[in-house]
Amino acid sequence: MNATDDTRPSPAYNYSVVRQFTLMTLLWGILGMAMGVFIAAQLVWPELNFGLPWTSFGRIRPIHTNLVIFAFGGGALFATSLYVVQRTSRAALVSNGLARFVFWGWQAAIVALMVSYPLGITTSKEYAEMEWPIALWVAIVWLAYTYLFFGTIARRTVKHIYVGNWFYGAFIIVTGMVHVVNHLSVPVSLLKSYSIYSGATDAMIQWWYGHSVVGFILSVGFLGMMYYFVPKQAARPIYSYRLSIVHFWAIIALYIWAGPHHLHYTALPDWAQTLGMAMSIILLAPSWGGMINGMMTLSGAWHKLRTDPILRFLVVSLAFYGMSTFEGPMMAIKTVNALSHYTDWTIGHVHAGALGWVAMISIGTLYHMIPKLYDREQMYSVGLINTHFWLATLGTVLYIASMWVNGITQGLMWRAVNEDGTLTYSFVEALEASHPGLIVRLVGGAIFASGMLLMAWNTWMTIRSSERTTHEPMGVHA
Amino acid sequence: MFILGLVVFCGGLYYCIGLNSRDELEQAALLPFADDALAARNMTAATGRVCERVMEPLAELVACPRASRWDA
Repeated sequence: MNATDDTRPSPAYNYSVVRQFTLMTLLWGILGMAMGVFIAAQLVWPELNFGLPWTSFGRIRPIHTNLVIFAFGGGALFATSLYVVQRTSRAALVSNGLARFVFWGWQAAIVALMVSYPLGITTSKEYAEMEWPIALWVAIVWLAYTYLFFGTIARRTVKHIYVGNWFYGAFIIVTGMVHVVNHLSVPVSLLKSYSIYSGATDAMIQWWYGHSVVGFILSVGFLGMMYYFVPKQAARPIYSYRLSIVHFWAIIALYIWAGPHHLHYTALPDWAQTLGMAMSIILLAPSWGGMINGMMTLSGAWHKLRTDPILRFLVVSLAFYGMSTFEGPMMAIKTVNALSHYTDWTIGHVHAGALGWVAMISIGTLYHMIPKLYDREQMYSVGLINTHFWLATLGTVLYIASMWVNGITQGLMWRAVNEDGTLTYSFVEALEASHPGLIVRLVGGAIFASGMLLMAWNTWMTIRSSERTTHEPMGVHA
Repeated sequence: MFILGLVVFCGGLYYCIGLNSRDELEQAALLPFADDALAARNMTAATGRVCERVMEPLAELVACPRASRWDA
């Protein structure tokens, strides 16, 4: 935090790249969620695999996960980080050309993923399926993004680096680090490589990466978003700035250790599993510290929730964040994990975070940002935002509740044994018992995805609207 | 590694909180409002807290005409 001149005039921000990422976030969000609905339908009606390798669940699922995490979630993070860093640093981006490279480079990587996965070109590592040429390209784009973000911070015209930027910065650095380490491999052809790690080491590195994707992209990155957009939309500063700093240092010190909880009861050494469990439980403290800090920002402004559906999106996302960051540490306890692992409970937990936290805070943030990016007073239809909010909430609740019921049912049926030690239920019986839950999940997911179509329509109409914001004279206000 | 983590945690807290005065942290908390005069006024009216230097950003540069095709 170097002291800099605080008297220089405010710059002209580069919103062009923010607009581009915002629109693509919407597009990829719709496509990614549609893919999710499709694979949920495949689990209800297996005939939808069509007997073709390219359309089989195993090949389509990574498209869904990569689209929603890297294209939708990643796009929202690119858009908001480049928006927030300029506004809170009072500095334009360090390079417009580099910003264009990051945008087009990222879109090219997403398209490459979408083409390669159905063809079976994959490393088979979850969330890291991209083969080495794509992984290398992503690393180059990420390096450019890192320079763009930190270069902009370096040219800031205010003394302090706002806490949201610290979260974004940690997300950028750690994501780059774990991406490079986990993708280290030996190429044997243009489209095939083998990891340099093997056995339990490979599994540990993979889930160190996998949980860091959850921790540093889907949590820390979006917390950066929360620290700017919740205060802004609520018209209140963050409840406790000091707590936000404690939150930052605690969460980055702890999150990187939690990965082994993905490998309970495997060949991973027991001490590593226990370490992962212990760190996951401790992680509850900073997670809830941040959640409470965000929630309490609404002190004295709770009445706004009655009339402001954007704020409702943001606050409900925090509620889901609190819920899923409580559930996660509980599921990391080995005895609980013995019941929950490999069941639909895990899918429900992931989507409590993905739909309830990541998607809802992204949606609320985009609704806040779009009118500003396009110089409009507000979104075309507040009623449509309201409808979208209820669709998103209903969809999320149906999704996670059905997966909880399915998960506990499956866990209990799988572990049930007769007096003679034989299994009480066959796997197919557990699958049949899951079928109603799979249908409810499909309905919930479809409801959530339909809300995204409303958002796309509302955004389109906002952009097409001729009404523009009336600006106040530029200058310095006391 | 644990000790290193603890040192980073404590050092980070000291650097971010211990080296900044109360007023500096107060103005840091208000940074989201520091380039938006209307939002700053609304925030002040609601909370009584004052953002000391509020500046409006200049009109956006049209620096990348090719990218602007996406601007709709």
